[in-house]
Amino acid sequence: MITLKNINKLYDLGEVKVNALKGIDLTINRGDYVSIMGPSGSGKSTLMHIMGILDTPTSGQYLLEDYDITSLPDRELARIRNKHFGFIFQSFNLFPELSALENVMLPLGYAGVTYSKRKDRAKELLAEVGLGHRMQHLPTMMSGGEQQRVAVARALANDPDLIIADEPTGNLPSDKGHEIMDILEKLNNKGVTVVMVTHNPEQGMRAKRTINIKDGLLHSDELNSKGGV
Amino acid sequence: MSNETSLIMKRRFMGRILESGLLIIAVALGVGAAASGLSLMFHTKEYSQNLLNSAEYKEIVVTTRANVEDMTYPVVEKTPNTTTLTTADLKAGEIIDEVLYSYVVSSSHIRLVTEESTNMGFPREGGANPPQENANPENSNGSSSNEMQPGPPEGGDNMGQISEMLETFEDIKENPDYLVPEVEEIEGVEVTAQFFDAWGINAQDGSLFTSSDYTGSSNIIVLGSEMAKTLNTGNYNSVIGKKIVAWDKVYKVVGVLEETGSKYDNYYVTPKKEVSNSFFMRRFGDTQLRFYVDNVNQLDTTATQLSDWFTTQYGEGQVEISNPREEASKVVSRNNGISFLILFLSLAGLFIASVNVSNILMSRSLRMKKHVGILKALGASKKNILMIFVKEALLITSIGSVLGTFLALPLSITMEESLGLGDVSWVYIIIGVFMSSILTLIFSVLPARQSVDIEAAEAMRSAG
Ligand SMILES: Nc1ncnc2c1ncn2[C@@H]1O[C@H](COP(=O)(O)OP(=O)(O)OP(=O)(O)O)[C@@H](O)[C@H]1O
Ligand SMILES: [Mg+2]
Repeated sequence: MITLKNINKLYDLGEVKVNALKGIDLTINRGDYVSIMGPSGSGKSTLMHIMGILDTPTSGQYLLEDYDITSLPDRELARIRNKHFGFIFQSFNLFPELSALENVMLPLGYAGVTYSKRKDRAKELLAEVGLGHRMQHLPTMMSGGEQQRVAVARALANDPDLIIADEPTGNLPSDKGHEIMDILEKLNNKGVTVVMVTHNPEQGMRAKRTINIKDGLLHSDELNSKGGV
Repeated sequence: MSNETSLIMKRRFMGRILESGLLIIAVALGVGAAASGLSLMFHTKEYSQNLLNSAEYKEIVVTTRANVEDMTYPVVEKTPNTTTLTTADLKAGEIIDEVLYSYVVSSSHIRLVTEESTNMGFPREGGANPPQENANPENSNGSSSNEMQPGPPEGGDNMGQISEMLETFEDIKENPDYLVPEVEEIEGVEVTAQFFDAWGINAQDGSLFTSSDYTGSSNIIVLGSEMAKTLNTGNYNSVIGKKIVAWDKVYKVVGVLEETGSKYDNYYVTPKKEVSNSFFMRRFGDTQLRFYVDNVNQLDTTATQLSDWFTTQYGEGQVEISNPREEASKVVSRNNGISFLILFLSLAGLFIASVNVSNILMSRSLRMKKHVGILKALGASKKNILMIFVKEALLITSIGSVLGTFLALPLSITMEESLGLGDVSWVYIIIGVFMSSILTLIFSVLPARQSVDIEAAEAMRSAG
């Protein structure tokens, strides 16, 4: 699905240059469930951003379904993010001005869905993540777990092919973290590709495949024996 | 753009209503000041141009001393002054090359027979004769135009005249050959032929005078465009050929002047009869010889030449020679100076306001950095993001501009009145508002371009 070839990312801060990624080669296959692990500052988020086309690599090639996207216009890239990717962040990143329902409706708007259809679909998604009773709540009126579930519902709005989750449980107590992990696992079982950064080895082992990154380099890439705790 | 994105902006706008309000006020003040400054400048420019292009300010005016005094004190006879100017003196213009046209102009007025005046009865003072067509030039000449003319009306007993007058009015009231005026008196001028050439005025209806009109005895009249409307109470298609009944004679309308934008729109014009009568100039309060010079740079030289000519003719200090353009130029340059200063100040105000608005919008959009990152992740393109900020800037500038327009109006009225420019022109205010709004808009959209180009990842990392 996604092939990254020799991806480098250099943050040039004048005096200091940070080489966040140093030639990453990586392939994500359709239906994969990948956990990315590594010490803090090793470049995990940077890699996720590049994978989600939220950032451009300094050098290297990004193939999406064998198609080089580096030359695509911004409009097309925005469409890919909207229709095919779903993002979940550690800090939820909901819009504080919008209710749970409106937060979920927003990406549907960019896909050109009409108001009433957006609303129906958003309600459906919120019910699926167990928040049917919190639709009109603003993010500030919800718990962290609830907020992250709204974020998950929002990421699923346009039926993405790939979920990109950067420490989705990082800000949650472990029981609430489990809820999120369960949702991701269920999604993967339905065929959605999931790439997730985590610091939790237990969560990492639940994925089908674990990639370790150290200091901007791919350190290991292993398949996990299914059912490992 | 997604509706929910607009909702974010709307709620942010309302959530910071104080800041938003300040922005709008800043725009309103800047636009209001600049619009009135611009409008003032446009108006001044137009006014000056019209003024200096008008024939009135391309002419040298020659009057007698006595005439000058008569204008101020119509009744008091000043030290005897023997000089009289006649139409014959127009030949001064023929001798001087720069003079393109020369003519005599006297102000005059006509007292009309109206329903009211006939009801009131016959006027007690003199100066009125029963209407008589083909009046004898000897006693009718000029009598229409002389406020000072003393003496009883000629012949006839008063009672007979009153009844005659009433009958006449009843007759003309229903008669489509006559214009039935609602005004008691109309103002106008008597001119010699080249007046029309100097002013470049043509007839929009009917015709101007023929050369025989200046010598003949027919009482014909040409009406200014506005006056024609005023007198046309019967709403005829054309007033040509209609008759106007004055207390002393009956005039026949032969033409209506095209619109000039000058006082002549509200005046009538009658031909000045060429009479050898030497005191004709003395009898009129305000009679001028006017010499039209096309090249305004030659006005001063022409004035000197005319002065020389009249001095040789009548002796030192017998005639007054004036150049109205000098005064007009002073007014024009004073107005220009004032309006440029005001324009400068108001544009400076607009600039300061715009820079501040731009700054506040910049910090507003920087606070939106995280939002931009998330929106991009959810599928917003750079163009979508740009539109969000452009919309916000548009909203603020348009509300501000509307308020600014209402601010500019009283400002413009005060300024333009004090400079004597006449009525405030909405068009100029609108142009001024338009130009300054565009400038403000550019200033307020500038910061948006920056936030659009931020990488989503970078925006995402920022706190917010
Ligand atoms: N905008 C930036 N400018 C300069 N350096 C940056 C920038 N963003 C990230 N870095 C650096 O790049 C390196 C990788 O950062 P990244 O956020 O990818 O790490 P991470 O693996 O996600 O860490 P964590 O587990 O703490 O989230 C770090 O050393 C970080 O300091
Ligand atoms: Mg990270």
